[in-house]
Amino acid sequence: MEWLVHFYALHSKLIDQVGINAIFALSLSITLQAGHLALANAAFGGIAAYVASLLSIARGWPLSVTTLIGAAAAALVGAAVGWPVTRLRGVYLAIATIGFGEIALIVENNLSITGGAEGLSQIPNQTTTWKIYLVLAVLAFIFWRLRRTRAGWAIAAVREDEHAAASFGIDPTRVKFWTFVASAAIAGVAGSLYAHENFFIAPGDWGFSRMVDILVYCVIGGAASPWGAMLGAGIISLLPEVFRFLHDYRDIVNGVVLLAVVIFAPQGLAGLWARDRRGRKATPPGAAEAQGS
Amino acid sequence: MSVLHYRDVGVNFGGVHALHGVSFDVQSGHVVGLIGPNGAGKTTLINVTTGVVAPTTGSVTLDDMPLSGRRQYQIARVGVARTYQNIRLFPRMTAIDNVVVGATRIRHDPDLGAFVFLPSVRRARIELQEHARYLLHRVGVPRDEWDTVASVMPYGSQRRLEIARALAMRPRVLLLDEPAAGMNPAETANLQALIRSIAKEDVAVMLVEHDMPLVMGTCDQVAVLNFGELIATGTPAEVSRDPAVVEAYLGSEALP
Repeated sequence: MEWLVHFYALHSKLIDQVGINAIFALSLSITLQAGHLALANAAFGGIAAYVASLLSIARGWPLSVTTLIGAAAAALVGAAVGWPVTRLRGVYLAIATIGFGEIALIVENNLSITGGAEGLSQIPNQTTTWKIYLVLAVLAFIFWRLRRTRAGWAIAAVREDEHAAASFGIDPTRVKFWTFVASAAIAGVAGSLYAHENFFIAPGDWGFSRMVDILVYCVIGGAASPWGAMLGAGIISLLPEVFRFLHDYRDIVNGVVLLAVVIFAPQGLAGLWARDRRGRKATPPGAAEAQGS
Repeated sequence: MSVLHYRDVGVNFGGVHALHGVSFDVQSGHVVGLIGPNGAGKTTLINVTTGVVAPTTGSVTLDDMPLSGRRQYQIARVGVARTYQNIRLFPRMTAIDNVVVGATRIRHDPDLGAFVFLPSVRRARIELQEHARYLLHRVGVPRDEWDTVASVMPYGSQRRLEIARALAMRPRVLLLDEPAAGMNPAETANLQALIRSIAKEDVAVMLVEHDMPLVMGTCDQVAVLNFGELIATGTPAEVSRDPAVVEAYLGSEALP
């Protein structure tokens, strides 16, 4: 027990980061589950972070209130952006959402209320480990149960074949729009928690490199699985720490590990587990080859 | 008792008349065969019915309800089901799950119910899976493939799974686009019995097929398309005697 307290005291910051990154990963996972690649989660995290931080600095409201308002703001912007862009497909949607992210950065860099490029500081340090993991647990529960709902089935069907889904009464545009809005809201929660963890935010915190980080969590963990997304966030956030003893070589080893996962588990780590589980049920001969193709 | 009406349906792709002035009816309880050479517009007619393609002229109505002008998912929701000539299953879902998605239209379990572990939602899920198993059994997908991912199922099973998925919708209209493609004679005979039994449940069935014995043995009515125009309608016997049909579609050889 004492060991645990000591461990937490030493690594609490890292533990918090893992949790926040996992929430970011979940936010991307819901759009990936519906089969579309929207890359504006970092930007939505930023929007919510600014809204929530400004409120808690100016008004001193509690974290739960400012985070909810921040997430709602992100969802609103998400709805405004999502209405046109979720009608785009594949790489065009990715490009449009990256473009939106860049616009958000420019706005944050130039508004006086956001502190411009210097960012916002003196954000009250209200985020605590239990709050992060409570949010994560609630989200995990929602994602788990979502699969049992009609909405969850619709999301999976649209991912598998948009056209065929439509011919069974599922409106693919509606599914893509609402997953986009939900994704923005969840990213907003993560952004607000991040802001109240770090005292300070700047536009650079919400740039394309963070978006790539979030995408890597999901790809490594397993694109279409919320468990994979959380697992990926955990592993990718911890890897640099695990390899700390390698000093200057750790980025290289880090990269090698990521490459190995992409090559040997193209479905992500969750995909490895699912494949194993399916393997135990009578898989017809030739199934493995067919799946590989 | 419902009826699918085609009235003067025309589709132009650019300058090409894919369909022109097509009018006929499909009654519930009947199987109407839609035949014609490749490129005659058979699949286009299915696409017009299901809202994939909007008709340039004319209209499609189900009873008194216009289908043309509605979106694909809206047409599905009033009970128009289809299968695809180029199989379009949900590839990474199991056979059972494919059928469960097919049942989307008739599901009424409350979306929030699953979050509070409502027993009725659990029961609804079990019933859905039961019904899916019944349908897979009915169309003849072997039991050991029910939990298999659709993309690795044998071709014939995939075709049958498409029909099971369409039946899960409890359709009023069922459009079958070449369901016998790639099937052997024994499988085709089973398919014929299946299609008849579906029609008997008061479903209006339209069968697009190249397998003439299947069409002639299954259908109450046959409609013949050639270059986008309806050149004959009637019973299989009438159509097979029609000189225009023999000329345009069957060549000079007599029917078997």
